[in-house]
Amino acid sequence: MAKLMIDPVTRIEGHLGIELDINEGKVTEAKTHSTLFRGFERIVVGRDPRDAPIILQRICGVCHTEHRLCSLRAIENAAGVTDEIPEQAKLIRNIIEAITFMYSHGIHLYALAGPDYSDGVAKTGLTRLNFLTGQGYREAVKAQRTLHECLALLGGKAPHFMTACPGGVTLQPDAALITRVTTRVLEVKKWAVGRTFDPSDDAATNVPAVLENVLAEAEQGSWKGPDPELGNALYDLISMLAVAKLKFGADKSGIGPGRYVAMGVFDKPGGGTYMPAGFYNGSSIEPFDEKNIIEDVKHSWYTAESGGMYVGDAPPLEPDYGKDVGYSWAKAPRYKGMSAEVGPLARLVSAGLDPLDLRKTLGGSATIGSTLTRNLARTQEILWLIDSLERWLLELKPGKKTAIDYNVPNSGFGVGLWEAPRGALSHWVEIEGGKTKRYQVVAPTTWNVRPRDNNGNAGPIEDSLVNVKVPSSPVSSHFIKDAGMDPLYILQAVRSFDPCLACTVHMTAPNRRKYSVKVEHF
Amino acid sequence: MEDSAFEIKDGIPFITKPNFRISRREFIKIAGLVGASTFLGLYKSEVIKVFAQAAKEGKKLVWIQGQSDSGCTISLLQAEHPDIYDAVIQLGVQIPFQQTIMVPSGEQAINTLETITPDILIVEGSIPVNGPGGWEAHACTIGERNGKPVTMEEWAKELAGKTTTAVVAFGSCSAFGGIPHGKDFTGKSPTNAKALHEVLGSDYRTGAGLPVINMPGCPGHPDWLLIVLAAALLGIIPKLDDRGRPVEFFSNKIHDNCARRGWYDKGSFAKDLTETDMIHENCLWKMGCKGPETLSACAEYKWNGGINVCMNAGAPCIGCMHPDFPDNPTSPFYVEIEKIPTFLGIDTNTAGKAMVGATAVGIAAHAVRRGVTKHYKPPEEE
Repeated sequence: MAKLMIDPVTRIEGHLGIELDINEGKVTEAKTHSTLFRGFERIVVGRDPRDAPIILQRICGVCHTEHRLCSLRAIENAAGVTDEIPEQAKLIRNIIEAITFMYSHGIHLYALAGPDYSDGVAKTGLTRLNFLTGQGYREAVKAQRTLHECLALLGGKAPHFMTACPGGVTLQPDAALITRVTTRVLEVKKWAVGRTFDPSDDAATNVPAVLENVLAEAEQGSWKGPDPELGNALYDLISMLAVAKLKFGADKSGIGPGRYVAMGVFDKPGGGTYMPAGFYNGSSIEPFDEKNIIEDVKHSWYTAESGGMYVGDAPPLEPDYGKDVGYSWAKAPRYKGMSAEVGPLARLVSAGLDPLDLRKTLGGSATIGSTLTRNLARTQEILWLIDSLERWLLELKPGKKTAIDYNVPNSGFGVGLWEAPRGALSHWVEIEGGKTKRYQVVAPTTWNVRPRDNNGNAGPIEDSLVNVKVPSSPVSSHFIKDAGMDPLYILQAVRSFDPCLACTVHMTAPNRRKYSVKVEHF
Repeated sequence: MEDSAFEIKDGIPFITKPNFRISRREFIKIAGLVGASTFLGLYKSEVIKVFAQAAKEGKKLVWIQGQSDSGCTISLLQAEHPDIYDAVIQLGVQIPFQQTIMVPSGEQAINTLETITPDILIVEGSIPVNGPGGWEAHACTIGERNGKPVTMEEWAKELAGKTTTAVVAFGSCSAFGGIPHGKDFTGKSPTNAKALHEVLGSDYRTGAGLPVINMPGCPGHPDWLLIVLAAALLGIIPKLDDRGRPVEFFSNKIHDNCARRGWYDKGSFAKDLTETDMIHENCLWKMGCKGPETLSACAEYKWNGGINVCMNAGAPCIGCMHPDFPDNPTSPFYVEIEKIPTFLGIDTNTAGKAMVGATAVGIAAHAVRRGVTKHYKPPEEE
């Protein structure tokens, strides 16, 4: 048996270390460690509640719109004005959110997860995915820039757009602005899926053709490259997924708990969300209720009193650094007492969606969580987003009212539920004397990267790493000579969750790990 | 073909071929770009020599993240003049360490940090140092050494100590402490977060004799960073103000060049957030705009390739480039600045009546500035 410590895990957002037990070429146990603390929830306390969305937006610079929007929902809820937000403002927020999802999924698949399937790292023949120099990588960097231009047009600047404000948004787009945004979305759509800007021209139209080409090329072992008429991104992502399945067995690797939480995102006119909230319990979808969220702290560096209750009622955290059984500064959120995965896969499962049956046919099941299906769901969601985004852009009419005058309530309690690209996001605020008295955030990656709960059950990422292969000879440039181990499959599995550690550990305290082993054989 | 410029060794891309055939046109593009900035203007003739040399030597850049949200990394990807790819290829910068995008993980990544001699070090995020709790420095660690987590403070000192050319604190967290440095309800930073220059000390200099260059912003402005990097690689020292900021980008108040400036002069102010769009022709001061308090060239350069800036989208400036962001005087963000700034000596309540002279001055100043700062001149054709 051997121990392996991977710290830092790169090509994710933030600081993460993973401690692994490895036996006979497989992971037998995994523990996740966070190594950053900033104290955001403490910093907003005592301030004007309207400052919270601006400060908390900066919890994450990759998912740089969600915390602002979620926090706005919480303070608007606290002021009792949720139903008064103008429809046009909700539409603009939807558009901004959809563009952020598209950019974030794209940058994750190409720049963070992609290199592990590239020729440069793993001799796969997929040179387009090579770090920095691959043509696909370069095109994706350009596409995300175009999408950020859209965010800047609607948001002032990006990252950290500025226009969503308490009560709505600060701008009222005119026809010229709508056109400038639309033109850019068209450009990206054409590059990504080879289709024109037209909601009736389904973004998924070319998927079957590209899939057929890619599978034929994979069989022949020669990659011809994309046909721009069919979409460059479709080709890159599908070839990456094909390689993941055929070369790396990703459909059998990184298997998660099979339970999913989604909190709902993209407002519908009149209430509700286009992507619904829900809890998939392993066999069926149940209605979501945030009162079912509790956070365990037995294995986290906090006093027992800090956890174990509905998050919205929980007292502020009290750190407890010396705890014997503690090993992580992330708390362990549970839904109905169970661990649950969040992210694009969780959203699609909760919505009962499996576009083109891709997860069922390529991943073996529409509801299984694997290294493959997480990236597959991310790709499917991009297709859904393109179609939705087009529809919303066409609904945008110049000059409409986009805000109400928001007055800070003297006291109130508010909940904001939303989704980041990486999964379910929830904010709770308590206002007293016109100031923020208490603030709680449960971020997406906290669900995925959480440590063991009070009953000793592992978190989704920890769970998913068990049984992942660790070859003793090189399969990639990740091979660690001293240890005689290649962690490629481990890294592929971790990155399939698209972890965002800045979000996770916005409130946790410092990592004070005691163990001293990097690679140790015994 | 572009793939052939690099070879991946141990997961790190190394430039193997002198594929930097910088055409005259490309060179003029770059030189024109940096030369147009006033601090670079004087050095145009030396630029060629040093630039070619820098490319040949394969300069190395290390980008390390402390208490950051990676927003400055994402911001860098938005650079368009030049974009990140052009910068790497044309300026010949290798990036062996950048946690968010690099290929290797774990020990491989740490070995890189230990063995490298950076030409350029960019620090994103603030740095916690031990304070009353005795644990604060461990609020941010990267990897392990001799079985112990290595704190960001140690990495910052070690890497800055061996950086040859320039150290840039990119973004408000690294430049001035930013949000992690912000005061909580007990009146102090929860993690005792510091700016890079505080950690390194005021006597710190790079091998080339440069102090830390501070480039605040939340996020930092990517085009400005690349211009400063280009300058540094070319051996040109940007002129810095007394807070270590390149004067080129941080010597004017945002308010001075704001597109809404005329409405301020006319005394036309938005009274709530329903009146902030440009169609209402209002200044955002009373909505809490911190443009009058904040030194930055935001309004001139704008963002994301120069297409927009906060105020033009109806959003009051939050002073994200201000040294005290996010505390007083930048917050509360939606509350107007308590004391009327004296930079114009004009009371906004009577501004509409008294502004005629000042308006003329403002317009003239604006025109002059436009005349001298054509930063993004299109490349000249041969």
